[in-house]
Amino acid sequence: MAEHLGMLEQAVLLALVRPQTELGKEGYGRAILKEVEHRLNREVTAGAVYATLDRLEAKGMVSSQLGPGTPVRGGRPKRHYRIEAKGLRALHAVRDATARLWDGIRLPVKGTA
Amino acid sequence: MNRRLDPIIGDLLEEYREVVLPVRGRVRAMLWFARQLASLVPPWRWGLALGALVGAQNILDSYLWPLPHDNAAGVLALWTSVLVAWGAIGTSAASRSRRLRDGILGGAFAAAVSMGIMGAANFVRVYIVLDLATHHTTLGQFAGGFMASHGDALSGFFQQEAIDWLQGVLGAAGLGACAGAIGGGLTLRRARPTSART
Repeated sequence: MAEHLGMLEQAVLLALVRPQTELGKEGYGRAILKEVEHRLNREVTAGAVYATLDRLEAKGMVSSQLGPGTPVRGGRPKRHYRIEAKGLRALHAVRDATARLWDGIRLPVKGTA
Repeated sequence: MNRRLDPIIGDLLEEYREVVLPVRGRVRAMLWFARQLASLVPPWRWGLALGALVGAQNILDSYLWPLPHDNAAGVLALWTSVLVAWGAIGTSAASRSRRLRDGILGGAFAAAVSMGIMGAANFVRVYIVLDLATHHTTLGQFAGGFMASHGDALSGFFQQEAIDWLQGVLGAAGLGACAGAIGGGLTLRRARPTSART
């Protein structure tokens, strides 16, 4: 059975699959945070994204490795994330489930129902 | 520093120096940084810290001033601060997940944990820090309470005290849930799009 993914989990995984911003393509924590904010069009706290990344890593949907730091980061390393096959399968499953849910449904024009 | 935390602090520093500080100015940028750091801490740890802080203050007060004269203003200020802290913890939990339920649970959980710690600290204060063997008012209160309970055994009186303590924890959890609901509800109502942020 496909694993359930919350909205934030989907946004994080999609940020890794197909980033829409230049920074997002770098795939480290801050880049993913900015990418998620861009996709959801709202402010997201760092704690929310890092907790989600930890959870996805524990589920084996993403993996990470440390990269070198930069002076602006006070020399602290960057943690780069990569989506794993299990994460991709989960995204496909969510999309299929959503498509089935909406299949054949035509909503009235917004505000006229 | 924690190996897990190091890259996260680096990310926050990078955002702070490159984006937030130039746009928001030092004071608002510092507030942003503090808020991001606070969001990394789960509600139960906040509850633990709050309970430890108030509990330690209670024990220290009892050690320094063994015969306290509680006044209404002081008690009201303390419990208002604690209630606001539970609300802030619930708000933080709700803003992490964008779910009101998490705000309520975060506030309730933090309140239960902090009240549990405060209760334990109070136990230490009354039965260890205060000198029961001397002419202390607490001993008189304790003995008076036992006599008034018409109990046969001291153990039964202790059990009743434990039940009262548990009721206090559960009551606090309810209050924490309310505080978390209010804070979380306010946070979710004013969801800010990223374009308005910087």
